Amino acid sequence: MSGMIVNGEVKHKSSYSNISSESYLNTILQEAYFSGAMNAPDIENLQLQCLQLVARKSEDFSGGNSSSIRVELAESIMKSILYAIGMYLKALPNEISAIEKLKTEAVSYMFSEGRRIIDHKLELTRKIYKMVKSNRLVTKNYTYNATLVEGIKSFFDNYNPEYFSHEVPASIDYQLCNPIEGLSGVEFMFKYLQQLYLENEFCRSFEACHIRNLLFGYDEGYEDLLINIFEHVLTAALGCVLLDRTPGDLTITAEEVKYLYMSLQEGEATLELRLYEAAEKMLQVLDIPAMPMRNYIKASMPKIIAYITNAVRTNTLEKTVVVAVNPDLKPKIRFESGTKMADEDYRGLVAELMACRFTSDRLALIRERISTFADLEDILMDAELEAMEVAAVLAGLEAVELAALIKKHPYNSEVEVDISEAEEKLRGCLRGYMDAINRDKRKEIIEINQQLVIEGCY
Amino acid sequence: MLEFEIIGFASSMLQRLAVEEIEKCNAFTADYGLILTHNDVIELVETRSDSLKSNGRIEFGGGAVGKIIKEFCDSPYIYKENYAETIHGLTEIFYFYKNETLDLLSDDDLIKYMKDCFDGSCQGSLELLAEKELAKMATNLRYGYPMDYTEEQEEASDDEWDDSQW
Repeated sequence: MSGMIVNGEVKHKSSYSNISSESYLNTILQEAYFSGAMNAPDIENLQLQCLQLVARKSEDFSGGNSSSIRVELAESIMKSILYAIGMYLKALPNEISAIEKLKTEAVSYMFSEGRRIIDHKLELTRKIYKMVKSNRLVTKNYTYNATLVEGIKSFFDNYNPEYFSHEVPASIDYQLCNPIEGLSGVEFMFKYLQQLYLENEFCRSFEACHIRNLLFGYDEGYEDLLINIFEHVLTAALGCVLLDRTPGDLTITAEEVKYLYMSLQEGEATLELRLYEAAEKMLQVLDIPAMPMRNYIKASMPKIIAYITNAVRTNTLEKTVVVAVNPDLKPKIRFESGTKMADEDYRGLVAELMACRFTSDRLALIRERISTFADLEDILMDAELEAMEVAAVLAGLEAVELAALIKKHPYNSEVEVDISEAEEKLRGCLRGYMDAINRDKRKEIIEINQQLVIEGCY
Repeated sequence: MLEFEIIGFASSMLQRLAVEEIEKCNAFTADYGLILTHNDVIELVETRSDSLKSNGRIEFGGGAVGKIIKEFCDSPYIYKENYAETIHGLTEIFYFYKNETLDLLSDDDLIKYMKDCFDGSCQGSLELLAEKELAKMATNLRYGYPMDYTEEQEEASDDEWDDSQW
């Protein structure tokens, strides 16, 4: 028998697969208690043994030097013990065997067996990390690269299976298409890497430059965004298949998106069916026979379908099925920031500006002494000018200079980062200035801004 | 009942263990004319529990109170009349400074330091021990200095450095 009967309901092992090992013991105990398989003395005996193990582990942790430890530490050690026992119980064929073991085996035995399983899982996780590193995508997305290189590496450097096995000491900022819920410790990391491997493997069916163009088409600043690459690639590939094209280059034109929008107006049920058919066709075209990959794409489909359905409903399909843009083909305006003045002269100028009593004097000084964009930018940040004074300086700039300033200080950036007070003030002034000028000039500045490449300043 | 909560579950069993262990110390301290009655011991264990709770700590064995009693029983400033009261005070101070010293000192080292100060510069004053000597020592440890580091030592080393420049 592979399951157990609880309250007239057969519980199969699979129903617990997404419960963290830390909570698994409690889940089993609750079911065993309410079904009468274990009684109160059985459970008290388990709790007492766990406590004795916590006491022993706490002493080991302090090296026998301290008879007391912080409560948070003791709680963490307890969680770690429960996690290890949970790992052992999860490895058993079913819940009946788990309850049997809980009644007959000593907690210390279950803990040491669980630790053995954790060590083994950690080894497997290391191996899969190597595989993920070898099938990693070539992309400039910062979160993807930072998570893969530094974030996950720190897990292997800091994971402590003896005292903190339930923790994930890593910075995992890159979000997967299917978030991992309920798992912790090495189980979480194993599953995360497993899914990341599949996402990478799917994306590697396409050229890196096509993925770059797709992401650039989604947002020019894709390098700094918290996005899931697989999700965008899968959506674009499905879009290509819906257009009866091979998904090879992930390229969809604006006209094709409009056509797609028109052709997807047949109701949500039909849309869902068409997308599932497109997914099946895409798997055939890309020649993806492996079951884990097929299952992962199948698991991702509800999310993609929800995005596309919503986009069709709100007539915003172009934001979901993205038109790829090759950044190399965009016309460019190169802008030189110029050479900065000597530090000593600059300090003198800032002091002089701050000592000026009248706005007109300050503006005159800036006009007279500032000759490069690099210095102007610094002065706007450092000289503690009033908003009105900044506006007066901005009014004297050419459109290309304003475009460069906005490029370097994007006042309408959607990327949330910590910025300094001076930076925030400058962005506020730029926003105020752009709102105040006439529409044609604003349009001109924005167009230049989109084509601008700022060369480094020295 | 099904939860594995450390505090609630552990407290009653651990208190019983602590009472037994502290009562055993009477055999050791009797030579100095110092004896704790059963009620004294129960009160002491309560003080220990309160101190542990207020400092966010937990103790699994009989604990540090037995060690404090054995270390301090030969102090010239402890006698029959103030024995129980002083051990109460020392217990509170001990757990407070376990946290303040960031667990950098072992139980034995902290108790030894407390004893040296209590018998030495504090001349039996718990107030001086807690507010002055241990506070200074804890600050030193947190800033990475030796336990008995003083500002005079810093000035002396500064002078030495200045002289060497000339």
